Amino acid sequence: MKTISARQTGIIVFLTILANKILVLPSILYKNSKADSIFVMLALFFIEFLILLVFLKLKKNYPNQTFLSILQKKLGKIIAKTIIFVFLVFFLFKTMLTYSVLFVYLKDLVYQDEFGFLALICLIPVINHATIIGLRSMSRTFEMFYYLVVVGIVFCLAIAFFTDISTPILFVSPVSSLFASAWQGLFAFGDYLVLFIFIDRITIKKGEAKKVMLFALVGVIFVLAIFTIFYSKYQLTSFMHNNALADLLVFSVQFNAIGRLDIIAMLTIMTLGLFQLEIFLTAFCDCFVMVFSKLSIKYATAVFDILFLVIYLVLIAKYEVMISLATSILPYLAIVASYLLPILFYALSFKHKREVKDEENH
Amino acid sequence: MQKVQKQIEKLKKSFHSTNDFSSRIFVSQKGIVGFVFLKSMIDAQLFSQAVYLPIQKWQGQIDISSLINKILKNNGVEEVAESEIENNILDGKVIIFSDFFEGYISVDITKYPTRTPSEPPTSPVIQGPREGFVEDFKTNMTLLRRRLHTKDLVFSTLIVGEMSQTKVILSYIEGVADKRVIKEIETKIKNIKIDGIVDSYYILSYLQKRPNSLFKQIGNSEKPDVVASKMLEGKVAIIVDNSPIVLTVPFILMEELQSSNDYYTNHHYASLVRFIRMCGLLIAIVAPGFYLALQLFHYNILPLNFLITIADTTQGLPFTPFLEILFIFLLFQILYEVSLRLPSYLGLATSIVGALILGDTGVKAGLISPPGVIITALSKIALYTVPEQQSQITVLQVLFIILGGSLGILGIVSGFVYVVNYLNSLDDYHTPYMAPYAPRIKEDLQDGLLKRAIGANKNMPRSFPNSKGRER
Amino acid sequence: MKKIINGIKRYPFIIVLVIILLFFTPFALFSPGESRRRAIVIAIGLDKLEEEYEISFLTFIPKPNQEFEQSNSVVSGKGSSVSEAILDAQLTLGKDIGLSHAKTTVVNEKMLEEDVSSSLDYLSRVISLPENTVFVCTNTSAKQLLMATDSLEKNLGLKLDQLISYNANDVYITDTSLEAFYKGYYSPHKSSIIGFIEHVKEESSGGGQSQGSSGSQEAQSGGQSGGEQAGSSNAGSSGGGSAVASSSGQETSEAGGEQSEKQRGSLQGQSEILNKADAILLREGKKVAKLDVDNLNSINLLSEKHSLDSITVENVKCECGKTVDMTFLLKNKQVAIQTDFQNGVPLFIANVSIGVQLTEIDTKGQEIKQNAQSTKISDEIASKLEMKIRSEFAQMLKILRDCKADVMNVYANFFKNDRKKFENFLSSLDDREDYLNHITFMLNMKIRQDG
Repeated sequence: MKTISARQTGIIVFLTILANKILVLPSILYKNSKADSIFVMLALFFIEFLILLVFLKLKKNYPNQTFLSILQKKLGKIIAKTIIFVFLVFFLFKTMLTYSVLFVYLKDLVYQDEFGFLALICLIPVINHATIIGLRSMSRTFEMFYYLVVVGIVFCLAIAFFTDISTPILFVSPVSSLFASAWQGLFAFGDYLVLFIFIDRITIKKGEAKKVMLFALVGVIFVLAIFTIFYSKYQLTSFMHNNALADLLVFSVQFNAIGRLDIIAMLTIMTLGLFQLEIFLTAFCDCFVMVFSKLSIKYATAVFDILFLVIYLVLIAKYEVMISLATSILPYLAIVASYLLPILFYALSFKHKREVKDEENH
Repeated sequence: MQKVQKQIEKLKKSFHSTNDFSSRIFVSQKGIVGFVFLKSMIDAQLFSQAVYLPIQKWQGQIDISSLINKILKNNGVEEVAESEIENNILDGKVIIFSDFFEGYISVDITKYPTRTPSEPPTSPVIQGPREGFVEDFKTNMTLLRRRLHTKDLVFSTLIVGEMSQTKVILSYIEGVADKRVIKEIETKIKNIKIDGIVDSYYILSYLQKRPNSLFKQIGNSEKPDVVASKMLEGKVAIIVDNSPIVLTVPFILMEELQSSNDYYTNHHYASLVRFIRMCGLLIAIVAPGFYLALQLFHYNILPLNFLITIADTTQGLPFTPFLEILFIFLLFQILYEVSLRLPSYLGLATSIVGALILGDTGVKAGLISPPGVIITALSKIALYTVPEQQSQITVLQVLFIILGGSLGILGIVSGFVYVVNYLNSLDDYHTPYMAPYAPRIKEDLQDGLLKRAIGANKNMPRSFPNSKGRER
Repeated sequence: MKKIINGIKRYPFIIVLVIILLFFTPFALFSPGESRRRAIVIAIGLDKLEEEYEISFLTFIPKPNQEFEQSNSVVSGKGSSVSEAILDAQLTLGKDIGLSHAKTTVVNEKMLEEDVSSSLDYLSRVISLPENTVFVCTNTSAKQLLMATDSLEKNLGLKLDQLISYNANDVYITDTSLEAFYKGYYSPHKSSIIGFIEHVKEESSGGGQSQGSSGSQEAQSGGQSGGEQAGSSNAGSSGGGSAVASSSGQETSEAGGEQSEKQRGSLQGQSEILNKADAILLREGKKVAKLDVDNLNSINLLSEKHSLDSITVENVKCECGKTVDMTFLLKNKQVAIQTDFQNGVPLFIANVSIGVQLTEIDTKGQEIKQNAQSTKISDEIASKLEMKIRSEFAQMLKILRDCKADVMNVYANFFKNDRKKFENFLSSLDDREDYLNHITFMLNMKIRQDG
């Protein structure tokens, strides 16, 4: 079994935390809850952190079992496969959302033109290939690029921070709008769920759980820093800027005089986007193989490509539709996949513990 | 008489009466002694002085034991079976047989032209040993043995090639090299079915798990000091007769950024040079494609002053940006190929034609633009920061020119991620190709892009299998 | 066929490469490149004519040379909306417009009579236009200012955006970009400041003569409607005392028929760019006042960053007892803002400690043997200085109160310190936006001698 280390797991967590949150989300949330969206994010991250703890507990109790076998053992084949199917749909739309957020960024700021087919040919083969070569090779690539991505984000934040910034105005939104924001942002979360799918290929030695949590913490800090600096920089015009991380670099007269520094943001966002797509697609394909156990990962990627083309290009087609789906209907899916099911897994880990104890007593 | 004659006739027939097949007959009081050999492979003077004359002058009993122990006091004298006669002759040995004693004796007086070890042209050093491997495997073994003065140094010989019967010698340090790796290599070499091995490169493609891959997965060197140091890390060296290139297995990409110079100079400087090599590698692969992407898709990223320079210089050119870069690239590649094959005295002329006439006049005539020439030249020169990977990088250059020109920056980033993903999927001989960075092996980072002083490397590298944790 | 399919199965990357080579590479091979396909716009000018918009672009025209000189040209288009005007300009140029390098957006004063944000709507939606593009206003027409800009660059090597950036950093102490405009526009006080560059036309004696047109481009599109292409030219030396640069613009396009002829007349003659560092105060996107340097200095009295302010105090007695005029440079400011409520009335307290440096003494023809640097600032001088600063501040405050334009961050300070009380105060007002008139300002000043 080709497993990945705790550090690589941590990096996967770090990358997924940044997915769908650093480009369009700050401006979407601002419309409802102004700069108080930072608190919304904080609350959602807290719940996410609990999911991470559930995962670590489950991993501890079932060190070498696949996700399917854990579920099958406790809940039976049909329920297990149904749960996996929910995840399959969740990751399918997650991949689509990540794709469309990246696509719009590229279309607006990098290509400034229509480039649908070009984006497909650039992104889809690479993520397919990454999925086929496997999680271990993929996470090695993430490990190589990790510091570059971190440097890219820190650079964007630092430039924005040191040029004309003021404190964001907080505590201005009513509680109801905070909830509305949380609902809108819900589908951008549920990142740790990939870990459940990869559970059998993750090796976390004793004491290494902290490492994973540390990476998660770094990811959360980065997202919150991007939100805070973005709202501080743009304040009342935050709703006009759909590409938070990239826009942080643009609005600084002094630095723009040196040359176009947006290339740093571009490379960082493209790399991040590709990696996130790779992770979500791998999670989707793994779910697919678990549900349809007779088919290989290659078939899973082919099925994804077809589904993607049909659903995305024919049914969804427009970025606005995808965003409105992600902020209105898909949060229901997120509630099920990223909140209700982890509670079930938590219960399972307890049940398992009790069973082990009973066996020992017996 | 009949037995000796018959044997000579038989061997002559077997060697198709080749011109250099030679036989001598010496008639003594006891009977006839026959000598067969290939005259192109032996030292004729030594034959008469150390083989023929001693036998002729010997007054006593002539039998196998006296020949080996008393008459021929040569080191390379041994009794061989009848079935091995032909191979021994092909090896350049003299076979002695007689009708009054049973058996065959082979005497090694081989002599053929060999090079003396000299500095290899592919890896010159400013400081440090200048010896290089030669085509003769024995000399190569000596060069290694001189550097590794240990009884644990093992040379094991395998014969490959139906017709060439080339000697392939596996060399490793017992207790340091990983047994699984040695076994895998042995099995692979034994399974080679080929008529002949002319150079070690022939073996290389059989040892790679993905023979069709663009990227080499087996290390090679012409320098005994480099190979010895790799063997000390637990790698296996493969010496192939008639080839000055010694292969080393397992191999990681980082080895390409390391040069023997790095170990014979200040480690701070070595770190800087490695970083520059890394940048050179990136520039070589990506620069022309990136320049094209900027021109064809992303003018908005270019700073205004740079954009003005590009717009001014490309205005009025007959070529589109893509064709221009392809044209310049082709020009450079032709010049490179020509300079490789031209005699050295014509090299200067080629440079003048290339640099002055084609480059400068091309720009002045408005056929090509100065930025195009600079970018392509930079990329071509940067390629030689990692000369070993020259062929792979050239292919990647073309690939990234196509990607950058056709798809823009996203094409380049996607291509780059694809290549890195692919490289990370290579793990021949239990060794991750991109170690020590992917996966990150903390202990080995001290000899990665940043190099620490030699004394700091206390343990064996963990990037590839060896007796891990063993202190050096 | 089977072999091919097997090959593809083993190496699916081949399909991707083939698709790229078939569908993308051929187009790329014969694509002329963005710099040849697009007109690179350096500055945008937006004018409102009677019933239509005129948009002008200062574009860079590539010339095959080795000197890498920037040669610019002004191209304009008209239309009932900004986007139509842009299309018109594109037709004239025969190229797409590339706005990524546009560093300046100029509008004429007339546009500020109505809410300018509606006219800027198109530009705010164009994502390729960087938000930090400098946003300024001019008195005549944006188009003429752009034409004069070219000579500014040729004579002084100075770009318009550099000039405005200097103003923004040292005089306005506020950004004067599109983004900054929108920030103010969407704020509770709805007010913002944008830079003002004066453009002066002088009557030319030369009639229709042109004086060289290095940057001009003859437009051959005679029949094209509306589109105009104006050549800016190098006029040599600058005009009057305060002029930065001048140019004699000439309309080189023959498009547009009679109207073009009329404009040709109006464009002939010397034109100058005057940078007096004035600014326009906008509220709800409309011009409410024009601020001069003194007004801006008073606004920036509460900004520690500001250091380009000098004040002349007239008729003060120096150490030798004679009456002179003294000029001081205000520097090393320390500002502390406090907000408070006294009996429900908001108090805005600014504690300002100013370091002053005597820079000049006008002796008015008297013989005074005194080193300017050793002169001590007496209490009389300090109080006169304080009086002058206070009176200028009061004048500026009156303007802001009249205009209901809070560009001193009064709202933000109260909101930060006493949010609830301030909210109550605002709700007690008949007109919530008129809060400046109901706030008491207290300026505590301390003047100390520096350097």
